[in-house]
Amino acid sequence: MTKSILVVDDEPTMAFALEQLMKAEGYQVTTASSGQSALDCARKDHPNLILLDSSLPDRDGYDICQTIRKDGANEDVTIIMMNTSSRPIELEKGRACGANGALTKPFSLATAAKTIKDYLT
Amino acid sequence: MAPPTNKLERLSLRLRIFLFFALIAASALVIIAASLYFALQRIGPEATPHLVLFGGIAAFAILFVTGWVWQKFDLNVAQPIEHISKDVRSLVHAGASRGMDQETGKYLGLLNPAIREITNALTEARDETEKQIADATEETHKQTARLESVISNLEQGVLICSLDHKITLYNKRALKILHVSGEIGLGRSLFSIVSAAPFRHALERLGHRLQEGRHKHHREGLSQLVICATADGKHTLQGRVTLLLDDAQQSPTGFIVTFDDMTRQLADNVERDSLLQSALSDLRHPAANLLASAEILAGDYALAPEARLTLEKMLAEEANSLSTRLEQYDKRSHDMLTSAWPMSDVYSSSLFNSVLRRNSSEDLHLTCEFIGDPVWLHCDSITIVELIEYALRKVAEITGQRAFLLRASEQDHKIYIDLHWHGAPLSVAAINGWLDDPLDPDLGGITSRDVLQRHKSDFWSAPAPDGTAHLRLPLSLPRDHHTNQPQDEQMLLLPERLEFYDFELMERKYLGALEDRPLRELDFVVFDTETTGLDPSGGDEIISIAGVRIVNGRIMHGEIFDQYVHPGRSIPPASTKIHHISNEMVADAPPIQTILPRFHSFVSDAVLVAHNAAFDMKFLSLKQDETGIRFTNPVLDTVLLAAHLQGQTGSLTLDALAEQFDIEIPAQMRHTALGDSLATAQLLLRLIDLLEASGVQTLRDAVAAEKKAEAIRRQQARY
Repeated sequence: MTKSILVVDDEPTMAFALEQLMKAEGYQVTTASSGQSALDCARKDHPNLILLDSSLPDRDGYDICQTIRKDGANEDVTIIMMNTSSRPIELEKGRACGANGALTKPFSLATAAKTIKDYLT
Repeated sequence: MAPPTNKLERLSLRLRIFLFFALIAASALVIIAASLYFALQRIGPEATPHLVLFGGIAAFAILFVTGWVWQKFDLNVAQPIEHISKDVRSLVHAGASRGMDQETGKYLGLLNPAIREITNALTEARDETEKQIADATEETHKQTARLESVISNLEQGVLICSLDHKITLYNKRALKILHVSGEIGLGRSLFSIVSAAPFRHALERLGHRLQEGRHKHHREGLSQLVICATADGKHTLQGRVTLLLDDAQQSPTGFIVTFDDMTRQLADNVERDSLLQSALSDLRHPAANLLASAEILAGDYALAPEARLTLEKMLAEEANSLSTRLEQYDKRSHDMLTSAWPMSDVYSSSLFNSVLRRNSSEDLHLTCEFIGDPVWLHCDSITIVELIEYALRKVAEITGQRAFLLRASEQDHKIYIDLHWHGAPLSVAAINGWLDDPLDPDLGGITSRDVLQRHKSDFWSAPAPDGTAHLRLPLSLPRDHHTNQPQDEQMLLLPERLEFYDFELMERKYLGALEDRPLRELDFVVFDTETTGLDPSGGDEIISIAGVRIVNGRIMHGEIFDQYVHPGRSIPPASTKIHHISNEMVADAPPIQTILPRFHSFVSDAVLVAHNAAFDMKFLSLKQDETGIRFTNPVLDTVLLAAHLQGQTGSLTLDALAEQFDIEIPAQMRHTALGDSLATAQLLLRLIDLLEASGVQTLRDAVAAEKKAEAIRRQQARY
């Protein structure tokens, strides 16, 4: 069965690139550009993995992560935070809010593809 | 009282009276012998048996009567006179206000009442004088207190020195900036702690400026910037030297140095400059390459397919290179705390106490306890205190909880401040809800988010391993190495009053050998030890050692050494009953091998003083091979000095002498090394008053007096 991925990023370039990459890797992809639309998509589509930007225009990415994790409909979803800093504190805060892993921007698409593959297999 | 001048006057009153009676008896015997001889010549040899019998009875009767009268006279006249004179001397010279015994000298007629009247009058006059002095000096003390407060609270280190570079004042900040462990020591040369050349140069320039009168118009007046190094060369200091002038504003009397530790700041600036320079140059090339490649690809250029492919590859490589370099700079910048904000090493218990003190002024009725061992951390303490206190209030508001626990712990090269409560963790949204609230208005509208950004940190809430929920705040490790030894805690309990200064040192002249200097001018370290028992040679060990410095006749409450010592053996319960030091209290204390060098350094070249010094010195001397520390300082013993002054008959215990001289030892301090050291120090100052009055002026005199007293005590011990 095809795995589904939700890409949440308000940067159109990054969202587009990730969407193209994931599609090329054979995943089913939806995108969201805000925290609220990410929550709506997650509740509707029940993706297997969410790539979640830590800084969104309407709500904190960590807040979205915690909300999704508490939402009964998405208990098993894998959440990977996309941080803008590689500081250990960011990674630790992500884990405390329920994220499974993190990618630090800028990252190569190859690294992203491998990380996602590792989590979904 | 003038000291005795001839040999007879040196003898005690009792001995002189005894000799007087002995003379009477001897004279009577001689007269009887002469009379009998004369009678024998007149009567003839047949009277010899009668005369010998008569002579023997008369001699025996005279000796008996003279001895009996002398004994009564000694008991009822000589001893009371000595007693009264001792009391009067104590009263006159040492200020002891103990009332005179009415029974003493009751056979001396009106002498005792008359002396009592005189002493009462003297006491009243002295009280009146003291009151006037107290009133007159109160304002001075207030000003001194203000000066102490200003100096001790300065963020800069302050040293005041005499013209011969001897330190006459310093504040605690100076100790920290100069990286001096223990105490600087008043009277010590400035150049034993910092490099001399920059100061000599600055003082020379300031001297010329003063001589030529240029200071009146000079932008910096009598000040001069100095960059110097600590004596070990490890730290760079930025200081400012300012000349101090006499009352006439003509001649310099000393100089004041204020300084900051620049080492870290210089290193940070160099690091930041380096980061900025390399970022600018390193990122410029890939940015230029990216721009050129992207413009060609996006532009309307007729590119061959191979060239397009090459350009696309180059674009990917340049982007990759840019990304890698960005990552490297990100990592380097992690290590650089934003030093534009003042940050310092803080002990977590101090931080938490500040939080509690602030919280107690609020009307929230929260309880908050500290758990775990305190740790050192690096932060801007005032904003972190505000941040924690505000978080405490917000968490209480949101969760309805009123009982909290605060813990600081070190994990993974970070210090975590955790606020615990029973209940559910807070959501990120809830925390974000207060991050932009302004904290204390006095802080200029700064928000929690600002504080977190300054510290490159963040807040989050999660379930804690112990089942509670916590709010976690990661902060940085301390910059400097700190020891979490009991001494730090003990130092907090010591009187905060600053007495590191003594302006009289400005006038002090170092003339001749130590032993010929007046007692009052000597530097003393009065010390005491508490031990596992009374047998140093039998395996008993030191478990506590304390000392206090006396400079120019003043006890320096700010220059105190006080340390528990791990004895390497158990403390007998009987000893614990006396000094209340238990095995648990010394469990984490350093061993004597660590403490003794520090104490040796504290003592420096001062005269050592202790009450029954031989006992304490024996413990110290037994450790000299093991520690390599040998105390060669002159030693004075307050027991022997008191014995010299008061005779050997009365009690010479510290308690008895303290009572005699009105020295108060707080009950909780008695039989503590520090408490007894402070009491002995006060006793020493009183004894010096009496010693001077009895002609013992110098250290040499005092040592000689001690030797005599010790010889008498040895004789007494033999019988």
